[in-house]
Amino acid sequence: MPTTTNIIFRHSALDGIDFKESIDLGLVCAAFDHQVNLIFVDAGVNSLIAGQTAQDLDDKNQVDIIKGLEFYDIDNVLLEQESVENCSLEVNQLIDSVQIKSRQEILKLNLAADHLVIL
Amino acid sequence: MSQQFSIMISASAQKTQAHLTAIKFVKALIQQQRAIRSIFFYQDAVSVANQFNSPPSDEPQLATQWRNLANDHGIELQACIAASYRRGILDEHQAQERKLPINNMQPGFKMTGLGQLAAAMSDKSVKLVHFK
Repeated sequence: MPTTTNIIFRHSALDGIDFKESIDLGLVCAAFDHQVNLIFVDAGVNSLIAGQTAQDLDDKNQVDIIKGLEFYDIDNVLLEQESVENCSLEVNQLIDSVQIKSRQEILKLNLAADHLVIL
Repeated sequence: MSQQFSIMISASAQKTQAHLTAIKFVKALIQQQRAIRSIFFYQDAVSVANQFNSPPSDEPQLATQWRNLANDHGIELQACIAASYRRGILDEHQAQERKLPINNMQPGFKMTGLGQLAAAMSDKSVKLVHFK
């Protein structure tokens, strides 16, 4: 059975370097055949709003990588429903290929994971 | 299958007590004869591997404490290479590549990739403990 690693994103992709370094860890874990679940909670759900650019920050668009994660065998990009609601977001504002799960469902996933990383 | 521990520290050595707490945790593991698979420094935690850090002598000398622990118990101190370069910590190889006259990697620390951490995490007998 593969190692399951859940990585939690609590901050926006444009808020510091946590997003980049969490994604890096996720990609490397996937390369080591982990089942990687990327879980966005709290302000982290803002990372997945469609149409964002980092142009004004002179940075590359980090969120674009989310769209290509399936090529790295990362299929589970999950958002916590309660956080989506708290940030007043609608599903149609978010990028495709993400799944919304309740806090309870995410808690179950976290309890079942071998590793839980929150950077 | 006896349990092993991998330690990950991601917090700054200057801004938090994470390193001190991690050092105490590692000492407790050693005291209880528990196996330590790896100690991995990620994100701002790599700052401890900057040789130019010069904390006042009456403050914790974290790099020295880490190095002593590693030397005394044969544990490798792994600093994430990407996180280190991003924060201006260069080993000899990278300094030469960039034609810089000196490097600033603290002796006793080793640059490694995230793959080292992922490999340790792949081992089902390993429990990852994260200090942030």
